[in-house]
Amino acid sequence: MFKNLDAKSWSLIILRSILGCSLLLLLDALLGLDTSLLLISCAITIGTIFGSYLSKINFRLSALIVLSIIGLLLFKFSYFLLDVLLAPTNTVFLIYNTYQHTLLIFSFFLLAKFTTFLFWNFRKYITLEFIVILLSVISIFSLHRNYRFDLLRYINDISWDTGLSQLAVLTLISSLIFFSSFIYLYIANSLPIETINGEKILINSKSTNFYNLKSYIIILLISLFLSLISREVYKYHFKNSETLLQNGVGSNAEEGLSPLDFKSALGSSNQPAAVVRLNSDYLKNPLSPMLYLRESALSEISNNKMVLANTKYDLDITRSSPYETYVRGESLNKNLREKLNYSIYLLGNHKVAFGVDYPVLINPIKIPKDKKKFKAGYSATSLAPVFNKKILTYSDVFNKNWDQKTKNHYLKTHHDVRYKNLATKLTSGISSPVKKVRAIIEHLNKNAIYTLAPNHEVGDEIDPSASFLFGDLRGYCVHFAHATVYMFRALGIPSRIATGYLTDLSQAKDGHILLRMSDRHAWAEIYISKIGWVPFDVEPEQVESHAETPVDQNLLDELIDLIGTDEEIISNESLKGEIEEDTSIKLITIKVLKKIAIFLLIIITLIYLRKFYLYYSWKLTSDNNKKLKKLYIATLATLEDIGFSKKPGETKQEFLTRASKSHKINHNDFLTALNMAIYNNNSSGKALLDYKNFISNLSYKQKLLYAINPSSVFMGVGLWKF
Amino acid sequence: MEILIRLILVMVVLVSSVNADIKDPFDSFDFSSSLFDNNTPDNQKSIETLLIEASTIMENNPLDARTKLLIAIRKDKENIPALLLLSQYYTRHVGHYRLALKYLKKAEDILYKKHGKPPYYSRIKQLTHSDILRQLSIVRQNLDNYQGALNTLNEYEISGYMDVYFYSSKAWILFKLNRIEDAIKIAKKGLKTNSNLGGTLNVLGILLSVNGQREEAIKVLTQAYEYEKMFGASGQPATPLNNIGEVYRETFNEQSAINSWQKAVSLPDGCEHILPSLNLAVISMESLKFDLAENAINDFLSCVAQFPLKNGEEHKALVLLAKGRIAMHRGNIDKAIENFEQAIQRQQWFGKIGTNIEDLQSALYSSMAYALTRKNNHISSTIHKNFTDYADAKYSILKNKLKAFWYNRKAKTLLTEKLNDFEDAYIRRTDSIIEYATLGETIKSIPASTAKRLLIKLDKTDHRNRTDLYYKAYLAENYINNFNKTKGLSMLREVIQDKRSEYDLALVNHAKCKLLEYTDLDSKSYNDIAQSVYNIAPALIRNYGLKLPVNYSEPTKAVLRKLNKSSLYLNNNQNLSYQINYSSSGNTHNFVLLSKKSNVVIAKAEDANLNDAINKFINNIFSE
Repeated sequence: MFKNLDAKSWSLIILRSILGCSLLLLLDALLGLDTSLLLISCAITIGTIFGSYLSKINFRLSALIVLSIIGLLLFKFSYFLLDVLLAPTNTVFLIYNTYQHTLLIFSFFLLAKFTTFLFWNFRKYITLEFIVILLSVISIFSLHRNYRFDLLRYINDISWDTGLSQLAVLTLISSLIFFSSFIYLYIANSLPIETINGEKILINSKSTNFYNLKSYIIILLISLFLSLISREVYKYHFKNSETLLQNGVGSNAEEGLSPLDFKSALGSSNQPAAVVRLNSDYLKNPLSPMLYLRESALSEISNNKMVLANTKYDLDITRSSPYETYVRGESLNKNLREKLNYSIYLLGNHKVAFGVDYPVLINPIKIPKDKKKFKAGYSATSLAPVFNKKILTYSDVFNKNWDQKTKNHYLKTHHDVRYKNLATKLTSGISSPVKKVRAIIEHLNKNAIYTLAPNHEVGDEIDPSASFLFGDLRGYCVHFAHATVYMFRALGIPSRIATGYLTDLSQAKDGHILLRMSDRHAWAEIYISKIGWVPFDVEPEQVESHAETPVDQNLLDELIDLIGTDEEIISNESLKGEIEEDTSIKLITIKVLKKIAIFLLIIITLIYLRKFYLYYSWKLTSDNNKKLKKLYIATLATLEDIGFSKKPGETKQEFLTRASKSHKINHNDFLTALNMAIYNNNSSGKALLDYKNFISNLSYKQKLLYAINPSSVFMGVGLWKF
Repeated sequence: MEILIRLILVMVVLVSSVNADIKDPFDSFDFSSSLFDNNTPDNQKSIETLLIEASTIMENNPLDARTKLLIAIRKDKENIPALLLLSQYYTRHVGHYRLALKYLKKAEDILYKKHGKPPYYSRIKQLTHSDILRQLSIVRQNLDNYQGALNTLNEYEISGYMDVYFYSSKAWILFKLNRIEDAIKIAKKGLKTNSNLGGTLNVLGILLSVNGQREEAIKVLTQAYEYEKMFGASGQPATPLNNIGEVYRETFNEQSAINSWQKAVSLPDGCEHILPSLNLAVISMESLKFDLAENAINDFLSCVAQFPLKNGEEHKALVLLAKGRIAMHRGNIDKAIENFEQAIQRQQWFGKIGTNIEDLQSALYSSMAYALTRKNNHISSTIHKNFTDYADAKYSILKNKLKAFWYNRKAKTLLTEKLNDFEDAYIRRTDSIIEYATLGETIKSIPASTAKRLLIKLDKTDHRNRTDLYYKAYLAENYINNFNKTKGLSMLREVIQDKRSEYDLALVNHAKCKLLEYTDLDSKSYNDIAQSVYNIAPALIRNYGLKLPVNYSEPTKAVLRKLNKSSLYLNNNQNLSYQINYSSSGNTHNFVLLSKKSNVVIAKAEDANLNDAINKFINNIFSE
């Protein structure tokens, strides 16, 4: 039935089936098909083979459409018939459910059949078809997080699952697409259509034409664009949009510089940054449920921006890397603070260790190799604040131990007098410094609008905080922090900007907090006597856009699992058979892949068993007549597999004569004996064709084809009849 | 050592079984820390000390307890009491059952490795083994491995162990395995032995209710409630009270159900479970009282915020589902879709709070499908500014249609395959969180013969006389969708004639909207029905893609044309209840909707751009 489909055609059919199954897996990952993927894969494979067959027998497209519609109608009708005839009383939906699943399977079969049919008949448009497939694969992969095209969702997921960098995953996938498309195109285009005796058949040909060359170039260009240009675009974004990734709050800061960015915080991602694991209860957190984790503090004003000050100031910030031990010497009022032990496991690169207020001890933890998701980790002890918020109201500001220079440092005001004017106006009649601070915060809470895209002009001589505060009041944490600190200082209140993470403890689980890039934050702090630096943060009532999304609890669970048992005493093996498979969306499940692999293996084994039988069944019989016939079949099969096909209408004599010209076949005596065996059932008693010699004289390439090409298996039953 | 193990095991049992705080009568503020040696770092303490400290502070300082236990395990990796206490911690305080199971299995392995397989003849080993099995059964239940939990309990019983929770646990597991009769027998046996009376009565009540013995169920559940009440702050009376409410709801005694749930949420343990609040929200939605529904959910959220360690993850999807539905019925479709999407992304365990993941998923998928359909109706009634806007709208409609089709298919697959042949179609089924008022939209796409068979089957088994209305409405929608419009519409007319209960309002209004889809816009009946729907739930008209007939004054032809493209039908041929006044001053277009009877402004909008003004106006008219 498939006598004219040679090795290349079959490899194309197999490739198309694999491609179809891959798309199916992606589709399932996206939609959750709820129907056996194995059955759908079979339907796709059968559909591809059937489509090829219909194309080979010159089936008309219109007839195919009509046939498919009739098939669908019959399918529907059979459902009603079954439903009425069987009408099961116990299970109302048995037939309905079966119908739903089979309909989906049938649809995939039809789709595979149609596309394959069109492929064979309009192969010159293969490039177009391939571009469509390619684009759909790309669009599936391009599902992005928060509309960030440099944060492809599946790239992220694969990167997370495998522990490879996102760039590596992107490059890998691009390369895969590039090579597979090239191979596919090469094979597809080396199979031109030829018409023999008015019948359109597919033959093997080494010739290439201009069209093929053109299609290669198109695909090459597309692939190059995908694999290289997108890689460059990605790299460009990755390098240049660090502040975007980090909510406007970067982590690079050296003396005189700032990690903060006024441009935009659009698209702040939920990329996990770290897991904080509390080892002791922190029930008296005065800012509950919020927890501020300070990384750095900016107390110097420079060029309309707060920057990191000299090491003489802000002694409470660690300035140490997560890989080194840090011990704090300065004593603190322990009545208003309590020891808080915690560990921080970093999932992203951090140059500076961060921690809850006043870390007194930081010790790096050795991260075991199997916990490769973590870049580094450290255990820390902080003297966390436990003061009652109410006592702040009438507290003094300043540290009594500060010298005048330090006081001046924390009070240095912005040159723009408008800050002072506004601050004075907002706090008129208020004497307590903390009350003044609250009045300013309240003003911003009520009037400011939180937006990730504030659109304030940025430049060395331009003050974006001013255009924010005295303009449209649209901004994000960086604007709020700068504006408030300028105003606090204008009122003589020592203040600074702190940077780090702000997290909501109500999103924590088991004392584990997942910090995301979108949790990066900058806030204002004022110094309260005996307590130290206390955050005073703006929380605008009007929110235009916000990156805040719930913590991914599945991810947090996974991470708790990973670090929850530091002792590595328990393996996942102990859970075998206890817990149902995770139903979360996975790109490709090993289980499905295994099933498909087993199915393919069985099919391949059957094909090769049949091939082996065709080649050597003559050895198994002692009946001379049968032996001769089977030897002829073996010769025919061998010739087919090495690319020498019997043409339609060709007689045995013609075919063997043609074959003997290029191959060592002593066909004359053999043919006579074979005819005797066929027509008189009386042969000379021995095989007159030296099959062994014929095989040994084949070239290496032919021998390879002889060994692996299964075309003869599909030559069709008709050929074996005598 | 044996004494220590005995002590630890007793503490394990105490911590797990009694929800009472251990208080020092002489120091009500800081019991735990004052007893211990705080000057020695935990690393330098002995394992015994760490275990005693951990089990003592577990209730009030769970994280500190966890740290101490982890240090103990670091010192001795095969310390069974430490593993059991950690498992307790993850079961009780965190709800992280996978981790709890890991610790338990490890403890079990160590026990078998050290002392061989049971039976054990030493009391200590028996205590350890029985505790492992008891906890294993609890954790397996929580992981929905009911057969595994039952096997564990059987092993527990065969080994000769007994515990007050045995019968109630076993009855509950049998119930989950759908062996109702066996479960009732076990629960009754438990009552005879006086073990865990509150819990056993509660389980028996549920079982009787499921078995159709609702009056008896209420009696038993009331006993359970009274019993739990005796324990004061440590009792759990809200659970049986919620179940009483559910039985009342099933019997259509809505007011009693509301009373029970309202009482349940006010009890000390009322906000440990979302179900009473969710039930209150659902029943409020069924009577189209969206404010009440929202209050119920918000009250629950503010209440549950008191338990930060668990973070309440297990109820978040349910809360999002309820919030999404409220937003949808109020006309805020974008918010509804956002809520549903967030809920769909959450994967969690629900067994403990009485419903399972398939129930939730099917409810979520069907609600999402409805929301997407309604979103399309909103888009269709929006005036487009330019061609790009128009093309974008068409694309969105197509996308939403495909998504709605797929979500609907997924919902149906779950309902018909995973949930026992669409058992949720039984009106107000306890486990189900599907929306019964709109379930017809899911059923309508099922072939008529199958749907009819389902509804006939339900009608046969369901002897409650008020459920006919629902089944009739579902069948009507199915008929309309399956080429039997006349019969379907006449059935819908019968449904909307129903004047029985305010708690069927959602269903009746849904039926009215469906009927309007096939009623002539100019007819008086259309006007009457549309006005009645709009008066009760303004968003429904637009949600269902219908038009509200109104009188008008002043609009120019262009304005008139645009208004008619929206969800309004401007008609001066009839004297209608509402009138639209249009005026333009300078560059501003002003629209006002007036109630003609009371001359009250219902909605108004103004904008320099006519299209924007109309869109704003429509939004204001059709949202609450």
